[in-house]
Amino acid sequence: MKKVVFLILVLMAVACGKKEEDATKLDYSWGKVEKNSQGTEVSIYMWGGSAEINKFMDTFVANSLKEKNNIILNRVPITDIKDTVNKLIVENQAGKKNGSVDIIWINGENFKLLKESNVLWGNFVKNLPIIEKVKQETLISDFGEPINGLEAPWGETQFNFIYDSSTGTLPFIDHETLKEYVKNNPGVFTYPAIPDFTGSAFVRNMVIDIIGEEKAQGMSNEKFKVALEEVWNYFEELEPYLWRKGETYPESEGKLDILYSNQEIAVTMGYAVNKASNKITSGEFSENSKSFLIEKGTLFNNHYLSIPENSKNKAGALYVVNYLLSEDAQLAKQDPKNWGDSTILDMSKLSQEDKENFEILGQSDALPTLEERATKRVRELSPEKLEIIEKGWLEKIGKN
Amino acid sequence: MPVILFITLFFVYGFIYGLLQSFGLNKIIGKSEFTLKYYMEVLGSESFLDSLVFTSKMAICSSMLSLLVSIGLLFFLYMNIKGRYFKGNYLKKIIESPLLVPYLVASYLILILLLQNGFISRCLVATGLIESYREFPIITNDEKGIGIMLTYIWKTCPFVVMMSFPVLQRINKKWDSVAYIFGVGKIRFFFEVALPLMGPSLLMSFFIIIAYMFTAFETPYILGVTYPKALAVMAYDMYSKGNLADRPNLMVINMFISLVSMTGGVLVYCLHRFTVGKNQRAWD
Repeated sequence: MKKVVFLILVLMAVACGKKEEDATKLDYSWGKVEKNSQGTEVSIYMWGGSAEINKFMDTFVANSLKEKNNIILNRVPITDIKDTVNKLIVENQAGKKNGSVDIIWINGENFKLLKESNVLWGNFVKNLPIIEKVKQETLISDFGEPINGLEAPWGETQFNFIYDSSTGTLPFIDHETLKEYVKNNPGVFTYPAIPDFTGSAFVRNMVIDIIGEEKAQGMSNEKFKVALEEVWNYFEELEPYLWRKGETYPESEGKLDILYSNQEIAVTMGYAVNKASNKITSGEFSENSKSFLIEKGTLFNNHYLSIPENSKNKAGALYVVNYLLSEDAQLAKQDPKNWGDSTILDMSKLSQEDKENFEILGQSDALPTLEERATKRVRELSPEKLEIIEKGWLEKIGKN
Repeated sequence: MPVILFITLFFVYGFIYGLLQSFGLNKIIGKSEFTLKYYMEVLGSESFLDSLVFTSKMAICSSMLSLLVSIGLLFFLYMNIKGRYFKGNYLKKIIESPLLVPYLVASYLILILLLQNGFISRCLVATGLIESYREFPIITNDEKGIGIMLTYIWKTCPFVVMMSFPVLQRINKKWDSVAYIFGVGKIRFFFEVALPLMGPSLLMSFFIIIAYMFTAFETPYILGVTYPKALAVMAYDMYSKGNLADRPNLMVINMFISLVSMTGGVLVYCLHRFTVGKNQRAWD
């Protein structure tokens, strides 16, 4: 143990020393990035709550980086990434130069906070060679907030519903058919209460389905509040036909899953694309469980990697981010055995072989096809609208 | 002492930090100034008051019921003190066993057993006692909080019994023969002699469990309803989802929770001092 600590200290000293030598001269053309990142240590601050993700980072990613460019990846597990966001904001206010965070894993609200506090390294994304092969739509906005090259997409997830396909047809395909469905089958549908993440996503998805994607995105916040009245009326109409007559809602996605696997309710949902196949493999859901999307599309969002302005090792950070977006790492990440998170690479820009590899991974009877997922999708709303929706639900629907 | 240092560091510091924030001082964002605004806001909000009522109701009802059940169990243990019905210590061990189960597990246990389509309901359907699981009463995530109370009672009774049983044993050893000489029956002896003597220790455990229930999070989180929420769940929701501007309001709620549990603590301490003094006189 002591040896390891000593080794890390030495390496950190080496990394720091190197940085001071050529920090002024560094420009970030790829040749120089490759050279200057060699043998350095890169700290990535990320949510550490998933054993699979941690293992993927510590084994596959760490080993490949070591092999390729002798980079040591230091994964710093965080319970709530907001702590790191706050830390960076405070460091920035205090004018601290040699920050300990080289890469941070974020999206949405936290990105907006960091962007507004001028913590992130300006337009670093254009320095990444791999960015040409990344889906263009993932580079524009993150929960409605313009990205401006301040963060690079790493993966993608899409909201989806799960039902037992042995019961026959799809329960619903939009908000109208959902209303009919619950009226014909009272007590078998519900969704997690806000502030649960999944419950919030379901409500948002219905908001978009009712108001329409373009309209909901384009509206000012004041107009949006007014437009939501229609949505609350819809939810009030649903309520008496929900599980427990809508007197209470499951508090978490986990509870919703328990109710689903106990057959108290007929539909569950989640924001992970491969939830259905994972839960079937683990034996929690019946073999016939199948995930489905709604006609006008379900929410999708990307999660991103960003580099703070005060990172000690920007060359190293660039190298690691570029690697994490590369075909190899993306393919390994999408493998359900590792993590199962969808890729952000544009299939049409990949070699035939890579493309086939990705398609094989995406196939499962329980999941919608890649094509279906690419067409039936809607963008996330801005963090302000998200907050308006959550507050509105708690006021109007949550308080019976 | 290291213990005191530990407590000061983690508890007192946190408490003072929370107290300052609840008065609008030491804010993370925005200007800090002393104000009672947040107290007014929280005390005036309907959801806080509903939550306060719900939490108090849960805590008071469950601890009363738990006390009654515990007295019943103690009586049973007393009747069995000479191993009349069950040999050895098994009975006591069985009664105390829920102490080993964490609240989180206990709550899930109750949930899985008593869900409308849960284990018990399925057994009843299988044996034909009820036709469909829909006939099974809703006692988890129910408005009355029955699931929560059941978990609390199941978890706290062993604690109360454990606290008071040694007293019962001592009383029995000392006074049993006296009672026998004066011709007092076992049942009368339990209710007229033993129970009043156990009073202080019962009351002490009562205050401990009521303070716990008032501040508990896991059980109402898993078995509660969407509205009204228990105070601790409400605080958690605000912390995990709310923005930094809501932090002072959250701290007001935390101050309330701390106040109640500390009152419980002080009461227990006073009772303890009082009974220790009295006990010495009574036993000597």
